[in-house]
Amino acid sequence: MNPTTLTRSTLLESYRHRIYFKDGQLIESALPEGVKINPIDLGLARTLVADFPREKALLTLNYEAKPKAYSIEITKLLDAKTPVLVLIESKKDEDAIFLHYNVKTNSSIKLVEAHLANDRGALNMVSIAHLSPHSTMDYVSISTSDESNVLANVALARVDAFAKLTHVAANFTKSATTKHVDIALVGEQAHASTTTVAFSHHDQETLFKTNVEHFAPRSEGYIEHYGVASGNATMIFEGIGKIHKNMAKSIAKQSNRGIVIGAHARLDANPLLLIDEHDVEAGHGAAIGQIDEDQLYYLMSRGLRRRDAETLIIKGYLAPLKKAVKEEKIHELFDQLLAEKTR
Amino acid sequence: MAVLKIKNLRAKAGDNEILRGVTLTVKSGETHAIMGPNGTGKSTLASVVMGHPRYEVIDGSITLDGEDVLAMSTDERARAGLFLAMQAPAEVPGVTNSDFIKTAMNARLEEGENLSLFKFIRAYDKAVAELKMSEDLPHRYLNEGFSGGEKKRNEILQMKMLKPRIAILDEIDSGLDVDALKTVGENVTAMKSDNLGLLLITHYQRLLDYISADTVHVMMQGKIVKSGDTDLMKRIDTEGYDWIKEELGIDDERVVTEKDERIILGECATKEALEEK
Repeated sequence: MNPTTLTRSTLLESYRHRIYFKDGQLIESALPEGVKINPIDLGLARTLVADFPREKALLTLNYEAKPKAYSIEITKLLDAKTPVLVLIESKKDEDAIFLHYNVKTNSSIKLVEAHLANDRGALNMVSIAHLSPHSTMDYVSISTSDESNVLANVALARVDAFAKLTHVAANFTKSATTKHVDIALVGEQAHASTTTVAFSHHDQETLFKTNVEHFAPRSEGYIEHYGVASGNATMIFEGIGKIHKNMAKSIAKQSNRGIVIGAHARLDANPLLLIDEHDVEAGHGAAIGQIDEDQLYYLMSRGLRRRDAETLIIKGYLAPLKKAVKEEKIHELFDQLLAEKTR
Repeated sequence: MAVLKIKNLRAKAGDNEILRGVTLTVKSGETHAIMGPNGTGKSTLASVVMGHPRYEVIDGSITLDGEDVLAMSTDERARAGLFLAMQAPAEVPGVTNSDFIKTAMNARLEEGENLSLFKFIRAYDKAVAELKMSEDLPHRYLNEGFSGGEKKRNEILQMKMLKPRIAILDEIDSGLDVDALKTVGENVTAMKSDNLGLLLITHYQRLLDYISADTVHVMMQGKIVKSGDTDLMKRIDTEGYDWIKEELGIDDERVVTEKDERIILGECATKEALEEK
């Protein structure tokens, strides 16, 4: 089974509640009580993006491609046992989709968003999540693609007071990929953690840019990047934690970890902290390098062949994903998508 | 029957020659202890036998049942039946303890053979209980966040599962409180058989109260300078090492300076910085 077919079928089998888009069309929606999907007009999409509290949008929706826009409204407390899948599959030359996740006050959702770009598909996908006060969103995104296409994904989120966003992004694409995660913490004690796990191989060029901006006091933002680059691939992590003046007692933390395999792959991490307030907690770090010799020696001293030891260490990077997604079948899918990259 | 033969072994780390002619034979059914003060090359010997990449062998030989161990890679040595319980085992985030051991056990099987998952879980759970380790151990990441004592027990757990023919326990007693030492001692003693040769490396005689040894060797200046039986052990316990130094006219027994130790145990600065965060 090719990876796209496998990914599609595994996802559809694993989630009862789902929204399925193909080439910009809404094919299917089966949603639990408290979740609704409605088309919205592009004018509203434009306004939502323009209103996002940031000086300049990083990457915008491709309006030329006549994007389809939808709003998904969450009005209930849905626990992790009722996850909702949003599957976006694209085979078109140019496909653009805009989604507005509107999580209302005191509501919560666990959402798994999957991007499948195959054949000659070029997918431009922009989402904006609004987390109202006291809401939570558990947001996992999984991206895959063939060699011949391009994926550009922007995930914006605006997190209000006492709301909590947990975002985990997995990237298994095989083509040029750009992903921007941009989170604005606009209410007191707003909390966001964002974890990116990415594997690039062959001639892939990938960029992962994560920005968490603090517009409220006592807000917390955590950025984690995990990457593996092999072959001739290049991967760039750019993480920015920005705390504005007077946003006291805020926490901005960031870590970057990466493994570079072979002499021709390249992985750069550029962590930045922009802090305009002294009463905060902030830190960043980066550890990029070859596979740790001590870890390899240890695993090999138990009889693992070098290749198996390397694979196991790299597989360790999947841990945040497996923690975020409980479904056993999806874990197997992750292992297989990784195997595609490391064999 | 397994025979590990170390003959006139000399090895260096960087420019520093640490092992300066070690000769030792361990056969299955036997338990040897190497004792000696800090920095005399005991742990280096263990690492060289296992093939740690930081050491370079200058001279001498190691064979297992006549096979040239020095020609084998670390994983081949393990599959040939050697095991080293390490003093400071690496932490491997994201890799669960049980996945790791399963992979290690599978690596020992012939192609096409597969480990029975049911049998594995039963054996693993039993070993965890025998070592009085916490039940969530299988799901925890390999050595990550483990206390010193948990790491040591985890080494013994692996030994129980992998059933080596020759096992070297490198300071398995350090960082263990009396109860934990007793548990580890009981588990190692229970593994003793005609099919297992044991080499214990320790500073202190107290380990030997829990795991009895037939022969004890004292290491100084990168060599075995004295071997004996229980009488030698007892004398070291009461009098320390100074009498041996005097007897042999050794002024400074050390071959590993503190600076070298830092290099050997050191980690890169960014890694440390990340952990401090």
